[in-house]
Amino acid sequence: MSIAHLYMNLERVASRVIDWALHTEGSSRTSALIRIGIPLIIWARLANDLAFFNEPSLARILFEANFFAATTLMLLGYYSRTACTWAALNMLAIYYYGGYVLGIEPWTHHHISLLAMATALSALTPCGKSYSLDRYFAVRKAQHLGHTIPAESGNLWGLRLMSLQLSIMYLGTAFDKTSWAFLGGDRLEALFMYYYSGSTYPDMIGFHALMIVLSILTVALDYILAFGLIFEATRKWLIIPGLIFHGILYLFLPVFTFTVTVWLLYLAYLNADKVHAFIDTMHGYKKDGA
Amino acid sequence: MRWMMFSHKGVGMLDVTFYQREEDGTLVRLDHKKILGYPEGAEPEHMRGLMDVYKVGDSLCDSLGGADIRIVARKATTQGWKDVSTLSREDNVCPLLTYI
Repeated sequence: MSIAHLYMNLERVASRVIDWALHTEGSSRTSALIRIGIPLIIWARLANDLAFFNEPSLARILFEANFFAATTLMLLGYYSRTACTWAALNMLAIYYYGGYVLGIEPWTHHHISLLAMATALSALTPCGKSYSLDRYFAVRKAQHLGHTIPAESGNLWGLRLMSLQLSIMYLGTAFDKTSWAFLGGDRLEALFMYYYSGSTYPDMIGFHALMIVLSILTVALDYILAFGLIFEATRKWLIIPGLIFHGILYLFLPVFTFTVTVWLLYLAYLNADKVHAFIDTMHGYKKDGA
Repeated sequence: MRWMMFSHKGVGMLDVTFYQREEDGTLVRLDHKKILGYPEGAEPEHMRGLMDVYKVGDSLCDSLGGADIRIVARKATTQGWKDVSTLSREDNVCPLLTYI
């Protein structure tokens, strides 16, 4: 292949990647489902920490009231993208200022940072165009004026960023666990012992071998998920293993809301229009929109 | 890019095994929790330093009166398990622990 051909092929690939990343219009329902899920997960983790009864100081209560206002608007989808931005600023303040400046150590954990980043990225999605008050008012206005009902669609580059975030997470964790200490089973053994048997090595035949196998499978799956979830051809085989993998982590380790957040963000990988059609089918809508 | 979640959990914890040396030289692993009457369902015991180990070893020596107790330990590190060289199967710890 000549240099010119190679260049043309690379240019074609780059153009397709850019179109996929930045210029894809698609259904907004996936973005909306993520927009609804995130504040519910945030509340499950933080609502108790941020309830007024914890510390009755004016500054704290004002912050907490602003937090609940922002996340409520995000959930309801009122001025959706602004609400997402507002909620994201709250989450970033909780993570960085609360966690690292005020020293509230549980707020520095990864399930909080993932929630904060996902909230921020939601602001870049067309999350208000479906399942929101914004949508309700837009439809009512169109009906009142006799205009066409606005389409539930928008630029999906925000979802691409969410996918990229998850893939980088998988790649980073896989890369860092690619060491003899982990792949040889030692680190997983210590982790298991820390939570289950303490300083007493489990009296179980094959325990070490099991830890080696699980360690290798974990790293292999992380590498595969990092890339495989991006492409539709491989994604269909990996969604279920990925969901199960995180489910197992949820049961065995104190990951808090990390698993459910990742489960929710898997929606960002899916073909938005196919998700839209799937939901239409569940509602019994006909293909032509009737 | 670094694996941060749980990357330091368990690090510094010791994996400690207590043995009783029989007369024929064989080493029999001891269930120190059963011998010392740890309650069922208690939280995992995390021994992190030699003093933690010696306390349990001393209790075992008292419980088993005159037994030949050996202790083997290794420490969890980010590079994997590292043997604790001050403890080995070669020495009966009970005479040593009477001084602690």
